Amino acid sequence: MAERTHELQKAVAELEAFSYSLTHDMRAPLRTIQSFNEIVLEHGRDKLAPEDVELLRRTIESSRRLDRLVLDLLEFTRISRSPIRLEAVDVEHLIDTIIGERLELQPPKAVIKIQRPLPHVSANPPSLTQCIANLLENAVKFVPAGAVAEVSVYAEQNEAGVRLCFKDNGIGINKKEQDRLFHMFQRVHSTSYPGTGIGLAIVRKAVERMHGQTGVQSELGQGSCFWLQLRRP
Amino acid sequence: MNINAQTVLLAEDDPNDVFLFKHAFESARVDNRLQVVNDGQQAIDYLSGAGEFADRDKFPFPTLLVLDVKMPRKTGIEVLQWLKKQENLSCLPTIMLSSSANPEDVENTYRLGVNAFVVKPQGTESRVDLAKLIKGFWLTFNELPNVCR
Repeated sequence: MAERTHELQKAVAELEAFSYSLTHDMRAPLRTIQSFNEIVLEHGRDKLAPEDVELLRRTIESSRRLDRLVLDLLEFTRISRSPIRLEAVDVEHLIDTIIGERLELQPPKAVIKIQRPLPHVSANPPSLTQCIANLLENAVKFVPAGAVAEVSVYAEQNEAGVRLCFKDNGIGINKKEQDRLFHMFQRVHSTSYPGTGIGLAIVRKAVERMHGQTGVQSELGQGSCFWLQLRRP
Repeated sequence: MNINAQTVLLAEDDPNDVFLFKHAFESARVDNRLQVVNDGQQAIDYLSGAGEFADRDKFPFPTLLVLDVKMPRKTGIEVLQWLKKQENLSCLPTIMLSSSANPEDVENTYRLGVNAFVVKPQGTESRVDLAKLIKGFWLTFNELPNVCR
């Protein structure tokens, strides 16, 4: 049994390393496709027919989209593979830093209210940063057109530790679709909102590696409340 | 050693990336001579002035070394390891390029004394911005000790 487990762990590690190399190497041909098309567009803007310019633009945009997918896959494999060390993390300071570094999380685009003070949790700082950034970016992205995102961040103490909650005024998620939300490539609002469908899978993987859990409470049209359950330091 | 030469040595095995780097240098109006080698061993031979690179008028010692992290024969990291052991060359400013910011690569190269770790820009606009920054900082404001010229 132990031997079989060891073999399986080795196979998973090899697969993850393979996946990392593959996605890393995909960026080079994508760079060529995007950049060569940009150069052709730049050189030929006045000579090309408008429909050809449009085709080049679409090729460039598709390469960019595929590259975002590759970057998210790289992040997912990195979070799955890299050694992780848990320490006491000041969540309040971490969230202030995340908001301070991202204009899309600040007024006039979004209003994020933090119910202070927030307790410290046991976490890996880069992984928790990634989780919270993904949740906040989703919270401000999935709002009705023209609306300003309003997000409330608060913490609840419970037996298992600390539950960090991110409550938004967004478009909400149908109950039936909530289960598959944290799996790879699952996009509930695929056509109207850009995304790769990997962001929440990264959150789930990172939280699991920090011995925690993640989930959501939501109803369509009623906003969502995503949460991270983590241990106390 | 040609003291007046302001040369940038690029070690890059992907011909498309070489093209894009040259295009960015031209677009950013970087007048410095760009020399290109296609693997890590060639980079070491160039820096040592060995074999085909013996003529320093033709292959001037660079002001800046730009290394791709993944290359055949010797990787960018192996070239950096070699460089830092060379008494007269170890101060040569070196930028490491990679397709992604693998934390292990970033940490290893910084421990070895790299001056910057840069993820290769995917688009032309940001690549030209990078070329302008290289020109503005490393090739204009930065001063090198005499031993590294």
